[in-house]
Amino acid sequence: MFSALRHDWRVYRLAAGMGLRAQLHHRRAFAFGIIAQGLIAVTDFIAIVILIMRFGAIGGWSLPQLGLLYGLVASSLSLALLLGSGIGDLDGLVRNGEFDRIRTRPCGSLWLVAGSRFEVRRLGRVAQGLVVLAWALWRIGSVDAAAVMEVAAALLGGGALFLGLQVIQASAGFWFQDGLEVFNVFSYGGETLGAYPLPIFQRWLQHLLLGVIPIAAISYLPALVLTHRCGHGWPTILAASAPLLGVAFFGVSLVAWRCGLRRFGATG
Amino acid sequence: MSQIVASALVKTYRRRVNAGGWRGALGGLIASQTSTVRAVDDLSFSIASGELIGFLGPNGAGKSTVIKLLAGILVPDGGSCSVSGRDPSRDRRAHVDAIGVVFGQRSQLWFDLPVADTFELLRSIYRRDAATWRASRDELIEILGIAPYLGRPVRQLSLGERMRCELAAALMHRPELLFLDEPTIGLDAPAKLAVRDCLQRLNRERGVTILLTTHDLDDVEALCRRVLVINHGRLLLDGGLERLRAGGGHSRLVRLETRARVEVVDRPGLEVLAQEAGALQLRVDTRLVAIAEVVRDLLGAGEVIDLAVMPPSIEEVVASLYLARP
Amino acid sequence: MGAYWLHCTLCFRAALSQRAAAVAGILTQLAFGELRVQVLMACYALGVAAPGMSRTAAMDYIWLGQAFLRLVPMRPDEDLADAMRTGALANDLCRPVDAYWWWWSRAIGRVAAPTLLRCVPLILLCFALGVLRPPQTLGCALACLDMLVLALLVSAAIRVALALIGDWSGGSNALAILGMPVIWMLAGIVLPLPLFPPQVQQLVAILPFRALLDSPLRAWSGDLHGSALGWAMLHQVVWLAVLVGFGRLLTRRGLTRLTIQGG
Repeated sequence: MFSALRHDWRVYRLAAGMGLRAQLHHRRAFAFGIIAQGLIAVTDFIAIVILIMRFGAIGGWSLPQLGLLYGLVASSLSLALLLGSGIGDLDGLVRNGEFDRIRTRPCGSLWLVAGSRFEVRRLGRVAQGLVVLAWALWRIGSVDAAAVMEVAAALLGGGALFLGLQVIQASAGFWFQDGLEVFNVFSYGGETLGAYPLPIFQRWLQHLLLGVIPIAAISYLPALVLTHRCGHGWPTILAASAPLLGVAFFGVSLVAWRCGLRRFGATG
Repeated sequence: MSQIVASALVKTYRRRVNAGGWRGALGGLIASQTSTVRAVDDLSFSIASGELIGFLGPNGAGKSTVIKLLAGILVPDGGSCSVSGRDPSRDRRAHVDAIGVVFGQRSQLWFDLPVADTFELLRSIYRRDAATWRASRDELIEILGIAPYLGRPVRQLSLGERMRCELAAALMHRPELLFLDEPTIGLDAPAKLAVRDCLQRLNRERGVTILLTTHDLDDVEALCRRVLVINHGRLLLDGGLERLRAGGGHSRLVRLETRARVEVVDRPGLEVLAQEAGALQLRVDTRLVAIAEVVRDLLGAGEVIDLAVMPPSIEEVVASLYLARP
Repeated sequence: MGAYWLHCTLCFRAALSQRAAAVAGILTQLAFGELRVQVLMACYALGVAAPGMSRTAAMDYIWLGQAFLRLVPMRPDEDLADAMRTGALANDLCRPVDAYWWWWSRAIGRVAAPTLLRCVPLILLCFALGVLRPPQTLGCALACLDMLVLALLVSAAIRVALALIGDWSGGSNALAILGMPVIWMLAGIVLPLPLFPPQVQQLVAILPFRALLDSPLRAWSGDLHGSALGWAMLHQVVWLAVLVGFGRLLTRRGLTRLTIQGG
């Protein structure tokens, strides 16, 4: 099983590399695209800044602390969008017959789909998230090794979570050709929600963000650790291992993918 | 030993049907009807290892669906198929490792990058050891004559050059079975000949089983000894090329050149295909009227410069098969 | 004139058939609305400084914004962009009709249908749930309706203009990616415009994007009345004229140096 995984990962790296190289040929568009994406994505954070300007603080969290939340969740989403560039385009692949071709390869289909394109300009989005994250960490004063490890764990879990959301969205595409925009609620909506401290939301939404789609686990909980607020009833260890929930969510999404493949075989 | 066995294959699709006009649009808001289409309807055939089969049928006949079923992309709704003893959709990875597919309309080569890069990716996907891969690669480059194109981005190649590279890509991992879906579409004569030559060599020298879907009957005549004709998802003909030709046994083409316009008496079995000032083309159904009679009438009708009686072309035979109601 | 109206209604009818997309859209809008409302309400409840827009007004604004979300152009007109890319543009140009009116009437139909499909159920739902207040007077309702129609025309004009710019400059995809979040911000979807800092509000007020949502929404709530209403409508009309004029100019310039690719 592991040799198959290694094989698929190598194929993905090669395919993504080819996608990257193909885009490098258009140098001006390449650079422009990256910068533009970064500038555009920052408008999300600008909204938070405007809210702070109007309301002072949100739920007792200052701007740098909110920046931490935003940086974690935005970087996670952007990483997932970058690495899984092709997954978002699955319905295009099905429509133009490319997915048929993918099904004739002795390789994990999801890897081939993900590697079928590599939207380099999304690097701009990732960079923007990381810049805000770095700024927030510096302002808060958490720049030690433990903090870096916590951030890395959170990004890993977050990336897995958002990748999982993308996979679920793509799998749903095997059943519904229209109306997949609902899933944007979970990915982009999730990003918006994750940028605010959990307690400001109503109970039912808090449960959703912890138990169903654990976005709070990859942004709020790690932020609690990093801002030393753990006295709120969440032991440090629990908060530090929360990103594992993100990976578990990704595992669930793979089940959905398998069902989607079976559906494709039945209807094409 | 049959390599491919299809038995009572069935594949159905559901399609949404909407009426037009305002009523249709608003009615569609509430409920819409679906119709079921049988793309493959109780299809059975078997293909032995090393055969070169032509797969014919009009557009929408179900050819692509059959190819996809055999490739393992689709799962049959009824019946079964097996390739080299495997169920294509169940043992997908193993099955797919041993087949090659060329979709004429959709290339597997990365458009913006040199051909060699796609070959590299394929090597990674198919996991052959370096020596075998290199040998296979060099052999294909030589057979197809694509050495000058390897470093050029695919977008710069002509259609013929692209198709040859496409063939190389599909064969590099030494599959036992090759599916080709309209490979010569849009190619000029030299390119078509190169493709045909390559396929023949593969089939003869390496024993690769080839299933060729095409509309180009010259390809069929040049390459295939056996054809499968399908329409509406059903098998109309499964036999040798001579059977196909013989299927037009009762039809003859009569070409006439006269000094002045000739009036043709309307009678059953006679069909005027084309008529101009001094030229006439007729199709004669010899089951209804004897050729001798027709010729006698024509010779008597006016001053004849030239007269030719010919058997129908493969195109016509196939066309008449297509039109036949199953 | 009749041909363009017919074309518009045809495209409208075609877009009406997108049922599943509409249902999904309504669900999406409901979720995003709820999301934004919760964030904003938390800010009001726990925030410190004075807001500049009442709580209930903010809630109305967000819900109405979601209901009419489709009015805000998210990307260049797809039909036109596709036609330019594939060369099918030649078909449009071979017809004995004015190209720009043809494209614009199609865009209008294509925007109106999804907007209607979503806004009616959404607004009814919001009334039922008690999260939205109806217009206070008939005058407010009528003013809002007028401005919505104008907003529709402006939206279609923006989409066509984006497609035209994108293609003549050879990179329509880039513009599409760029446009969306910025336009959403400037239209008042991400945050209600009245919450922006006052200096920024003045700048944003000049741009055409507030004509799409902000103006009709404020008319609904009665925030705009009297001379302010008149100025807002004038703003819409002026931008409509500018965008249509710009679009026609691009069309005419483009037709003379057209490069049709492919085919």
